[in-house]
Amino acid sequence: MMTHRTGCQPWVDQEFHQYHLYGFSIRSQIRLTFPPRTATSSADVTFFFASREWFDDITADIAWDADGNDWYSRARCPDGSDYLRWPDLFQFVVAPDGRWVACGRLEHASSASFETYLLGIVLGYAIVKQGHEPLHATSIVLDGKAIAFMGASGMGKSTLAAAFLAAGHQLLTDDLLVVREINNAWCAFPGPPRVKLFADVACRFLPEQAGGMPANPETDKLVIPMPTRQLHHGPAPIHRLYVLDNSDEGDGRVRVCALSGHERFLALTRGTFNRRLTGQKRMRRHFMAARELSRRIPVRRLTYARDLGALDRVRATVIDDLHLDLEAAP
Amino acid sequence: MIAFTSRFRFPSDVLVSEMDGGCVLLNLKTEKYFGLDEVGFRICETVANADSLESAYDSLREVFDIEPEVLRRDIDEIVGDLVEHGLLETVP
Repeated sequence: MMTHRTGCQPWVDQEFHQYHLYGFSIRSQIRLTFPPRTATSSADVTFFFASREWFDDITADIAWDADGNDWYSRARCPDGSDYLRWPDLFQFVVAPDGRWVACGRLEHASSASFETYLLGIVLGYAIVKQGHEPLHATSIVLDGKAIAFMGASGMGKSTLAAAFLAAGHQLLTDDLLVVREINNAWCAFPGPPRVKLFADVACRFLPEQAGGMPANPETDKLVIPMPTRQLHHGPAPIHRLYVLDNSDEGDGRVRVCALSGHERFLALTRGTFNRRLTGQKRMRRHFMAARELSRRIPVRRLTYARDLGALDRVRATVIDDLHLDLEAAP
Repeated sequence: MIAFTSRFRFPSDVLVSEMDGGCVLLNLKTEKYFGLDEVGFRICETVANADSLESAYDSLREVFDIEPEVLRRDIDEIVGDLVEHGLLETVP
């Protein structure tokens, strides 16, 4: 039973709900916006509420992360847990081993944004601390096979996925992708049943679901819940990764090209979901994981102009690329 | 200019992985990744396994059909970059 400095055990006698995300079982004191699973006695990660006083106490002796590139602050607590704070929105502490997350929602946070960041960046920290290497990618499923689009924020991963969803394919996960080996096959795991899109993209490709809540006060992106029929509910073998590239040559063509071995490897290192957790142990593991994935999963560069009107052609090009590969397979 | 009498090796805190002829290196101290194409890796690997840079140069002359002075300059440049980023170190 977890205790902390004030001696209080914050989750005693509080109702918990069970969920399954990214291949991990989660016990959560926070009721999420999608249906829970049947409760089990064990969980990979536990979410619980913590008071402001609890946070004030646990963050009394912290060392702030000097990296100010992200819009949240991070600090390492003396016991190895990580404190994450989005000013005026929410704060979290992730356990040293990633097995629990303390959650605090502040004045200006909506439920949608709180859940988005809990199940994205924050859970991403827990997953890395448990020894896994999630990718910054969005994945959809075609004919039972998962493909994923990798790229930095703003490169159009979710927008391209929306073009596939509009054609009847299924969402596996948006933004955070966990790939693990199951029975000698590399599989991608389902994430939360939602996609984050700008309103114009949602209206164009998912008009029936275009109403959503803002992902956070600083963005116009909406959190769009996806209906069950448009979700892939279990792991799917990962067939291909596409690195999105917007350096098109101005001719409007969509290009798919293979990457060399070391280019694939570097693309996968750049595609990490969490760049803030470092240290030699993690970097060594990250190197090995990227190497293994680059050897086992085909990676292509997908180059196209960022034009919503062109996405149907991009989708068709990707499908042609996949069919060519399937035809060539022994 | 690098002294061609010097001998080089990969430091212990550098991970190297060959991939289809090229390679990826990770400097665990700086936590930075680097990639080398097939030519760059061939030079890097030969240098790291040779008794001296001069010896590496002699081996690489057998491999690359280019002017000797161009090869010497390329080796000097690549080795200089790798040393600067902590990916090669001189052997005392």
